Amino acid sequence: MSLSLRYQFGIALVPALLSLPVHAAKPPKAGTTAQLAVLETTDLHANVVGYDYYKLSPEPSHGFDRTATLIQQARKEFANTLLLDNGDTIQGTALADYQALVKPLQCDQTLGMYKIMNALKYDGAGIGNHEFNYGLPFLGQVTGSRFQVKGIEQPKRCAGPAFPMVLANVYSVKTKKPLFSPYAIIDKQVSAIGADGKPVSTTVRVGIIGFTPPTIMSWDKRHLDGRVYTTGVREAARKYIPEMRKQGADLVIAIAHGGLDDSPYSPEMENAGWYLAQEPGIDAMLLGHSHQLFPNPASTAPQFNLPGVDKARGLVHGVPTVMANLWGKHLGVIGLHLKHDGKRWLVEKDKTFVQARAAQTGAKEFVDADPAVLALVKEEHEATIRYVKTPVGATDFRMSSYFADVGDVSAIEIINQAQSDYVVKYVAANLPQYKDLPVLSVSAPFKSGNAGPGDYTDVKPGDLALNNAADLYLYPNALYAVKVNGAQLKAWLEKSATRFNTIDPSKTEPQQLVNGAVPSYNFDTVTSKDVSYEIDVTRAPGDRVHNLAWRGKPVAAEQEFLVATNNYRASGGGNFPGLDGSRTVIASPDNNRDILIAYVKASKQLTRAANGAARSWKFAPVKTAGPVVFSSAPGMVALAHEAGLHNVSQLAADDGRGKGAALYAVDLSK
Amino acid sequence: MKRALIAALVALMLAQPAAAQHGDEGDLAYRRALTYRSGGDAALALHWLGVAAARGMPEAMFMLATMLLDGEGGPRDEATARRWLEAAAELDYPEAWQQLGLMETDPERAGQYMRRAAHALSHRGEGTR
Repeated sequence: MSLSLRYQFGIALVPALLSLPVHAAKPPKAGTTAQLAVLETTDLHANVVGYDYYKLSPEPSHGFDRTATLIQQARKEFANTLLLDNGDTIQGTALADYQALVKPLQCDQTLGMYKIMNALKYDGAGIGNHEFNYGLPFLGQVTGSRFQVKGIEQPKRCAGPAFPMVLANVYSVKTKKPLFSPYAIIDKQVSAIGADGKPVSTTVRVGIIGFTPPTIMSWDKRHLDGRVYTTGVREAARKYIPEMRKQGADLVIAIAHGGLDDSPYSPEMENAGWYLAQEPGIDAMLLGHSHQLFPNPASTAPQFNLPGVDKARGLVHGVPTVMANLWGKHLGVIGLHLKHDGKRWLVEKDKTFVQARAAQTGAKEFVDADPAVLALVKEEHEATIRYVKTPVGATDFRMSSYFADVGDVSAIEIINQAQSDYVVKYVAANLPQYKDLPVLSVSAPFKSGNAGPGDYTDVKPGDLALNNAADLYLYPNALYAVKVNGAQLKAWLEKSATRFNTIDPSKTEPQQLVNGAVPSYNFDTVTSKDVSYEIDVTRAPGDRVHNLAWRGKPVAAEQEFLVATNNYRASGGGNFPGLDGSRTVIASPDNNRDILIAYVKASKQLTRAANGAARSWKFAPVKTAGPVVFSSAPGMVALAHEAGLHNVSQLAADDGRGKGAALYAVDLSK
Repeated sequence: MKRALIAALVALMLAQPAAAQHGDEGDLAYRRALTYRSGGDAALALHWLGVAAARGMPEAMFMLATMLLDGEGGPRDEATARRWLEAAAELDYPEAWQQLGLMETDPERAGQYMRRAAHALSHRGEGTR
């Protein structure tokens, strides 16, 4: 307790005070040795436990509850450990959003992540870029800081971490002083071996200094502009590391939230670790931000194949360095071997080692989760699950993708409506030059039974919750809009129509409608009363889309449209003609899924007529001598009929492919 | 929700044009590649995408992989496509993470790729042209 109070006190004042010698322990004799294992977590991203809040299911491959086990194992193994976090700690899951935005934390409450870190007795932490995502008032509150920043009134210090948080390259515009303590010096009690070979208890003065990517100024411009400014990582190191040494730091550990980059140095550099390691006086470096593993002899990451980087031993220009991947999957360990020369501790580099220890121990095996971690945040965890299940609206029809290949739009139209609505409003507010262009939207069925009959989008009538939105919009996309002309729109739809095999009407034997080599997520379709077209599956790929019309008139080759889609498609995903990033006119920061949620919230009650029936495309009518067949989940034919697809029938409850799907037929003459 | 989280008004991509990051040669090769692709010369597009990708442009790596996966401009080559996708993913190109996720058959690993795509996207701000 006294330790934590001391840190709180230190943060409240200035770094110089923080680093005053706390007590005058007898200095060890020359020849005393000690091993100090520096343990790193990084990019935990609010994964308090291994759990997927959208699937509402455990996710053993990540989570702080398993990292906690690695920490305890390391503490059993090493007599002296120093536990540090590299940042990107408080953002990244629905739980983080819940605590920041949905039910913001009260001043006397400690953030879930920091509760766990306090219990695990962290010695210190840096600040990542994502710490700034919820704004400075929130960051100040939850870190127990009192920022002297324009527009922030923080009358008292709130509950927060019981360990020092350090950041040396972000300053308040108002005071011209660092936002956090740039560094802290921790008097670490260690068990050592005296020169006489006998155990001895002594102190190592460990300095920690933190750096965040200066690029926060563009990533979180709205929160930061005019309130804080950054300096380069190297500049901050040159300013503070000599000061730390003067204050008596035996060791300096750099907590750099960033990776390595050998491009010419600039003060705006995002990943400055390669330059930082060349600054004198750094004994160990903890990296993060780029979500990689270091050391890792097999790494092909360009940043670990630079001159001066030893990816097998974990050295950057000779400085022991670790990066512990992300989401608590690994624990970084730098085993510093120290020897006292009578004046100060020195690192014996030849006896020092670096490791990144994995929570995953086999193909599907992981270390046990520490149940104490979940117990600490049980309330927050359960509240988040309730939040994810909270209705945002309701639907009077079943929204599913079982028959999307034959024209059911029940799970697609709502996405297109939300996307179009967003683009129309965005253009009105920001892009007056496009105000006269028609806005269309495309989307695709994301799930089409690849993994079996359960692998379809299927949202039952009734309340729609956040996790249902994740079922309707499966992928992590941002909304992008592209400008295309009529010829390019047709080419886009032609590419989508390669989803189908070429059907020979004269064949009497069954023909498979769907070309399994073309994934359903590349079957983009329009679902709008304004647009109509036919897909003629008897024609060769590239010549199937006919009678493409907008508001009843044929679409001319030169006629321009804005089409709402996602970043994947707009950037070239799926190899659609003409889509290569160069036609993007809106690169929105908003997720398609969040746009869908906002649209459902505003619509409140979805109905089949308004939100699930606008078929823009139909198969061109053709009489076939034999059946045209496709697979879907068994016993769903009534659903097809409800969607108006009366030309669908089930031929067999088992399609014979061994996945439990049924065989259906579609009568293309109807 | 993301609207509240991501406040960047200037896209990182726009703030740091490709030419500045990868040198004029990479940028020129990339532009040339897109021109050939739009003009229907897929083989030449592939060639120039290879040049730009070798100069470290993740957008070129992604387009190259996309064409290789589709067998456009040459035989379908999933192994090479995957290597380029992995290289682009290491540069945190969201679409490359997503493509790796789409190609992954193990649902747990696919989910992880998708989460990495989501995180990579959060480093990309808003942009209009």
